[in-house]
Amino acid sequence: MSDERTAPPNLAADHAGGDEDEKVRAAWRSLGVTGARVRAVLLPIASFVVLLLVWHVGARAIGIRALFPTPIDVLAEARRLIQSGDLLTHIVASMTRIIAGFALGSAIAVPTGLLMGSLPLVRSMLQAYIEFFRYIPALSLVTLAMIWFGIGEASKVFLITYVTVFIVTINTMAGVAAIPVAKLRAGRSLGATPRQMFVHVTLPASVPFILTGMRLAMGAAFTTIVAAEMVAAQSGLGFLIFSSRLYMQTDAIFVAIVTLGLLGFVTDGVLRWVMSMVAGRYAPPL
Amino acid sequence: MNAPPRRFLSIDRVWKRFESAGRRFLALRDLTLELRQGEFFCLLGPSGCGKTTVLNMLAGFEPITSGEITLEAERITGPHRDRGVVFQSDDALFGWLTALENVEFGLKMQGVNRRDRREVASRLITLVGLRGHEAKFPHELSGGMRQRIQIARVLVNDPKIVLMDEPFASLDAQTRRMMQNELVRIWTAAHQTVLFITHDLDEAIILADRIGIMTAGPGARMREVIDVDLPRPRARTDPGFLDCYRRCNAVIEEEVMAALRSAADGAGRAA
Repeated sequence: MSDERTAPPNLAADHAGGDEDEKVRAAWRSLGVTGARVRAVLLPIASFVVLLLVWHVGARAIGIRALFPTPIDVLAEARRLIQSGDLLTHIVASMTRIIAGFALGSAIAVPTGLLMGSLPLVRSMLQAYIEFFRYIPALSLVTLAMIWFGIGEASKVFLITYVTVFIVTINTMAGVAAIPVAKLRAGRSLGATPRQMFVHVTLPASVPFILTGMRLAMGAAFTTIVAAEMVAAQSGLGFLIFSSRLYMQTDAIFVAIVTLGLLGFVTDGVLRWVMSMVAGRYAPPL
Repeated sequence: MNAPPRRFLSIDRVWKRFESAGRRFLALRDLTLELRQGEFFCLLGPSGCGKTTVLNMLAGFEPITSGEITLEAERITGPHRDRGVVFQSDDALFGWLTALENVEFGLKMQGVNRRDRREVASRLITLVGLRGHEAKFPHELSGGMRQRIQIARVLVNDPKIVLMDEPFASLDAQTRRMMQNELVRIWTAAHQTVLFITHDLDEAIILADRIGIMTAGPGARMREVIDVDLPRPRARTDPGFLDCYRRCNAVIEEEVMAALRSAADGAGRAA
């Protein structure tokens, strides 16, 4: 019988033969292996190992490194790029652009979204623009950005800012719209002026939506930066991917792709951690 | 014209009509009511009769269609900290502030310095029985405790009147009874005028100096105001309680019957 629940007596009889199972399970438990832990840690690792194996076998079957490198080829290329310092340079280039554009975009979007959410006048003035521009992908603006801002940092930061602004603005507006009426009324009848309402009620009450918007924007920033760097850059992970094709350095492309995935994973983790540090109280589990 | 006797809160021939999407709905028809300073007044009526509409107009959340509402001879035009509101729903609390910070909110808006507002807020936290829970966030507290924060948060402003919109309606029966007794204790200590909205006759008799019974909507008005002349604390088993219950209940039954009749008429006409 399991130790978490006590089965009724008539069911316990069915389990009489389960004694042996129980001993095995107890042995696993003594090693620290429980059902919950297996699911949380071991299964993801196992599935990753299987993926690597399938990849390796598949790549060997194809047999052309320039077409489809094995994990070992990719690892070797990664080591080369790390030792030469190239990979770090590209990572720093991409991340700098992302963080600059993301910060600038958020700084524009949060006040804009709060104002649009709270003031019908501002909303009716800006709503149409938001609805129009949000459907224009940043990728379609890459060439324009190059013409306007050159192939320096400015064009990339502009594109990241662009994607961030719309995503964060729309989420911030949604956050304002989701504030319960009672909360707003409470604030006002407790004596808050319109300005105080904005700072002490509307902003903090919208924080969970703002943070969600920022996480989504970070995802979009990754997509955009790669495309922008492919077209117009001399560094960055997008540039690494695009320039590697010239010499059929497929393994380097794989390195860049895996790096992007890891960077995104880590960035999201860091973002969530910062959020919980800065704003844990603004997103109570209610 | 002679100066009229000093009125505290006066609702004078108020009409309220809602209009949305071309549909009109008459919520209040010619409602008149006077509240005395320092009294505990319960507004009682069947659901949908417009009790909350009355409260929203007093709070300044809803404009009135015609008539006049004045507090100490001043017209009510919008929300003000003179009229504190305790809401039924605890999402009126600020979830990002601790219990103490929620209570301090009104003083903070007034620019009272940190030390003074902490002192006043702590006193009220003690009054509502939340000592030891100051640093907790609303989501860490029970439903009854959250309503205590709401009460303390309003009292901190020392308002002229406290408006309470079925504040205990979503609590379980036992907590509700406890909160009713607590409210009587707090009200006795705080010397406030209270307008308390409820559809629960028991609750009204336990709490009120006077009970105002409204007619069934639409187009509701005051049906009758009944004095509850019983010593506090009151028990549901007092003979006086039962007496009062019978008197109020008779009026309410009539209103319920009237509502059913008008609903049947409406259905008959529609058919």
